[in-house]
Amino acid sequence: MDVKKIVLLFLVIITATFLRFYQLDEIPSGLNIDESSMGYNAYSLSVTGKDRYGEAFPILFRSSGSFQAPIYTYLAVIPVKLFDASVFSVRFVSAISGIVIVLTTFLFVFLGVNRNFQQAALAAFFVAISPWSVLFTRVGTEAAPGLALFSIGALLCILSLKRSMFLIPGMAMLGLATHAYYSERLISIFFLAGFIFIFRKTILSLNYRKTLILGLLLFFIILIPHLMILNTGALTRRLNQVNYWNDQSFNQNSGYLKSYPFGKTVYVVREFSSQYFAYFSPKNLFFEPDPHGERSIPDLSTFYSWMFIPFIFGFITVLKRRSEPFIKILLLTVLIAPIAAALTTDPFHTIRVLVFLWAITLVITLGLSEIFNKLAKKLFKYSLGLILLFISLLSLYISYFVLLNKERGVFDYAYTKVLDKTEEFPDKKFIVDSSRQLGAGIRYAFYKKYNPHELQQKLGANIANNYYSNFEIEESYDLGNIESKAIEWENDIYKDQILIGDNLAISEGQIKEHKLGQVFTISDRSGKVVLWGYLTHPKDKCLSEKEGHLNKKCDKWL
Amino acid sequence: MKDLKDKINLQLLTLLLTIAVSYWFWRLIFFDLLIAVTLFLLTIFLHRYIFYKSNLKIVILLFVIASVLTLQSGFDTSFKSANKEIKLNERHKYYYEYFGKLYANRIGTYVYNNILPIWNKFEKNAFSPLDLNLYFFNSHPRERAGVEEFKKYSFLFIPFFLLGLVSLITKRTKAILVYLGAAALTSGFIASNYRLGPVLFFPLMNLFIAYGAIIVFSKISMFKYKN
Repeated sequence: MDVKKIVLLFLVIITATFLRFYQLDEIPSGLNIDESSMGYNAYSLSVTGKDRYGEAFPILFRSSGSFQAPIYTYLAVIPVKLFDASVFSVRFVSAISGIVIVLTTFLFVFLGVNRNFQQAALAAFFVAISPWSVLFTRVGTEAAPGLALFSIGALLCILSLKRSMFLIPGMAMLGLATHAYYSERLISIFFLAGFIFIFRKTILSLNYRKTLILGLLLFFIILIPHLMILNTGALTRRLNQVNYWNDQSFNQNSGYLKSYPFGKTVYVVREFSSQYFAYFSPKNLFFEPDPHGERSIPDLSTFYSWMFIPFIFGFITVLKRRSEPFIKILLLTVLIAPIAAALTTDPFHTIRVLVFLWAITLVITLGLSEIFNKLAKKLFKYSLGLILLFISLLSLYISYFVLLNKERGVFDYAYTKVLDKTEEFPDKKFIVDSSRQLGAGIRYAFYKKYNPHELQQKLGANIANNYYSNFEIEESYDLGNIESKAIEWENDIYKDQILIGDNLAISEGQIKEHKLGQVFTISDRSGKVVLWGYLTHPKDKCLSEKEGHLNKKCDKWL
Repeated sequence: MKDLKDKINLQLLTLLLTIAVSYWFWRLIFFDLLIAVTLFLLTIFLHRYIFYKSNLKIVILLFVIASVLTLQSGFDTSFKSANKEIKLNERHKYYYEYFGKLYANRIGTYVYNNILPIWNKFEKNAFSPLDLNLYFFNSHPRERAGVEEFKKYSFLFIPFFLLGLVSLITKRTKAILVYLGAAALTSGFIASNYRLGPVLFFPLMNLFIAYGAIIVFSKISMFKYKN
């Protein structure tokens, strides 16, 4: 490889690294519930060797009943140990996964497409700068290492077509990916089955038999932990929460199909088809982002809108070259990757289809290469490339580093600021209404680095031996001077403390009735007030009650 | 029977059947007969151009007529809505904070206030028809707020559509892409909530579905014919 190529590859890696680490702890602001959960569990593991419920080496992390895949949390122990528990250390694993994905993309395309350096570098660069990639490798999400492991597995599988020894680690990586994220549990299995079927003449030949058997054995051994908890309900808990083939969903949404024989079957097939094809919609991919604010960037979809044109050319290229091994693997990935996400009701849920988005990025790369090949003049080619690069990076900077930073307080920046207020009122207890902020408690536990031994005792007591099976336990995070729970109007107003909530938590009527006094407000990043803090006046409240002297809660105050 | 088969153009018959069973066509007839007839003819002649490379001028003429008729009734007059203005003004502060004089000059503010909203609206309208779910699932699961979604084709036609798309786009790439581009660009000026839907895509959708059906039926011997 000559110097120019090394420099080019180095620039791609530098770009990827910069886009992932620049202000990683500040943008997005605050931690979302999953990040807080994984971060605190990693911190708890690093201190005690157990998660926040006191469980050692969990196969899935309970995490308030959502049962997070374990790999991210286990990996996060390393940066938490190195950099202490912080926003940076929680997101570190995602950022590193992002760089790994860029590197494996380069190798995947380079080794898959006849060592075409230009195309491989272009693919790696697109993965480095694509909005979906930047967004989901700058936030702590299990999907990031899930994609990293899957892409390594796919790379090793493509290598195995030339040298059988790569099949074993390839299958191992695919097996590990099933422990990284929900979607990969299905995607890895389908990919492996599809890969063996498509290349059966090679894979099932005598030369490959030994490695195939060893690889499959290793794959299934890695899957054993899933089987150990199969009957507990934890493994399928998330799917049960979001699927559409339950009776309730059928009765609510099937319309006229309710009265037809096999109506439910038709309903499920129709629903699956609509969810599946939504991921292939150019409108969704290139223009209209994921509807959820946490999974999208303002004014930017999963890809830049100009990428629609190379996408079309890439689609045609893939169809014309579908007999090539690399294209077969690419097609297989594109077709199977949205299946897991299509089993859920959430429309165009991008974080569940990172493997699909990665494959689409490769299709776009093929398309752009095709367009560049058709352009004769080098000057025009390079000018066009530079213009597209400038537009893309400018859009990314404006939408992600400016607008997302200012407009999206989705990671509860304001709730995090409550901790600053506890220092202003050190002798007061803070009750933070968590009716619409389920993650407030674990977030505070993380930021305060609350003693894991104490939290294990509080949370673990309710779990006992039902770590994987008891789903409906209410968790309360009483962390000394701050507690996250729903405000109990029968009790909390009779204690001298500060109640904090949004505009729906505490009404004007309640303020007057319960003699609350506003002591502060907290704004989000755009300056809009989103939280109000009210000091209780239990004595005044008791005096205002007609029969306050009969109220036992008023004994202390009257 | 064989003579009859030879006489009947099965491609055309399948295309006519596809049009006839689409809910969309009957909605077009109900609301605007002139557009319906124009699109019907455009579909037929586009089919002739794609398969027999004839009547290109008629295709262009009919496309222009369809575009004019659609723009007359469906032109998007809301290129810069009041809601957007408020947001624009808030973002003005952010851009000034981050870019300073690079943004806060005559060109920068003109582009931001005048060009960008129009471009964004155009993009939204142009991309709106590029959604499979719009045609087969009434935009489900991403139904559009404030838009009367209506059924265009049964979702059972999807396999035919995909087969037709995959076959035609590789065999008649240039023609398909040129038509697709023209339809998307023109649709950029048509409101995405236009009550007749993305009508300029009507001919292409029918062609893909019909061709996919032909591929499937040609596997059945009694329908075998020379393509």
